[in-house]
Amino acid sequence: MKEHILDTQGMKCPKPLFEVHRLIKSVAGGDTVQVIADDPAFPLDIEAWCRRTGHALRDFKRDGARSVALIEKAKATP
Amino acid sequence: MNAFNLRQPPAESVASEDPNPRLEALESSVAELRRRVEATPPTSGVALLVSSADLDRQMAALMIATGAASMGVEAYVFFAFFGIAALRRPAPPPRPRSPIDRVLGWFLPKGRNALGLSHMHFGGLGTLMLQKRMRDHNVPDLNELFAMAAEGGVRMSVCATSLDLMGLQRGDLIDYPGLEACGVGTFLSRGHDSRVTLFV
Repeated sequence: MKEHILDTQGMKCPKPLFEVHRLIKSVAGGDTVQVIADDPAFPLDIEAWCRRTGHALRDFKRDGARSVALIEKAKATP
Repeated sequence: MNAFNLRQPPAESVASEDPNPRLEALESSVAELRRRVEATPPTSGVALLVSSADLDRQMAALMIATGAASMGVEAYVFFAFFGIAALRRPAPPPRPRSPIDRVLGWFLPKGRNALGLSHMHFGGLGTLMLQKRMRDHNVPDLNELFAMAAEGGVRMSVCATSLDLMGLQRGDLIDYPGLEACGVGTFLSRGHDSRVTLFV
C-alpha cells in the first residue's frame, strides 16, 4: 500500500482529471493518491469521477480555493 | 366494506384459477426480458459529431472527449463539414488541385490553430485576446487537447464526403492515431454503442 501525491494546482478542467487518471493507471490496487487541486470544477468533478470509475474517495478537504482529495484505487481495476 | 372488497378478489375467481398458466406467462416474460438484456450492447461510450469550425465548439468537443477518456469511458469524435478544418495540416505536401479546390482551401481554416471564435472574433483580434486569456488561465488549448486525446485513446474519424466536398484528401490532414475517412454508418454504429451522443 503506497501513498502517492499529485499536485494539479494551476491546471484547469479537464487537465486535473486527466492527470489523476494517468497516475491511477500506474499505481497498484489499494494504493492511495492524494490529489491537490485549485481548479474550481475539481470538487464536484472528482466525486463524479470516483463514482464513475469505482475508486474510493476516502477523504475530501477544502481550504479556500484549494482542495485535497484522497483516492484509494479499487482492488479489482474496473 | 367497499375498500375490503376491492382488495379481495371475488372468491369464485380464486377458486377457478389454475396457477400454471400464470407461472408460464411469468416464465416467458422473464425469458423475454433476459433475451433483451443480453441483446443490449454495453452503453457507456461518448460519441460526438463535430460539424463546426468554431474554436469554442471544437474546444468543447475535445474537452468532453478527453474528459470521457479520463473517466475510463470510450470516446469517439466524428468530424464532418466545416469541423474537418481542425484536422487540416497547415502546410500539406503540394499536389495538383483544381481551381475550385484551391479557392475552397483558402477559405476553410488551415488547421486547429487557425480557427476563430463563433462570437467576439472581431476580425481575429478577439480570438487572439481570448487565446491569450486561456493561456494565462492555464486552460489547455487545442494542441494540448489533441495530444491528450491521442494519449487517452480517443478515437477520431473524418467524414469522407466532407473531405471530397472541401477538395481535401487524407494526406492534407494531420497524423492522428487511427484517424480514417468514413461515413454515416461508422458514426451511427459507434453512436449506437454510446450512452452519450452530442452534435457540436
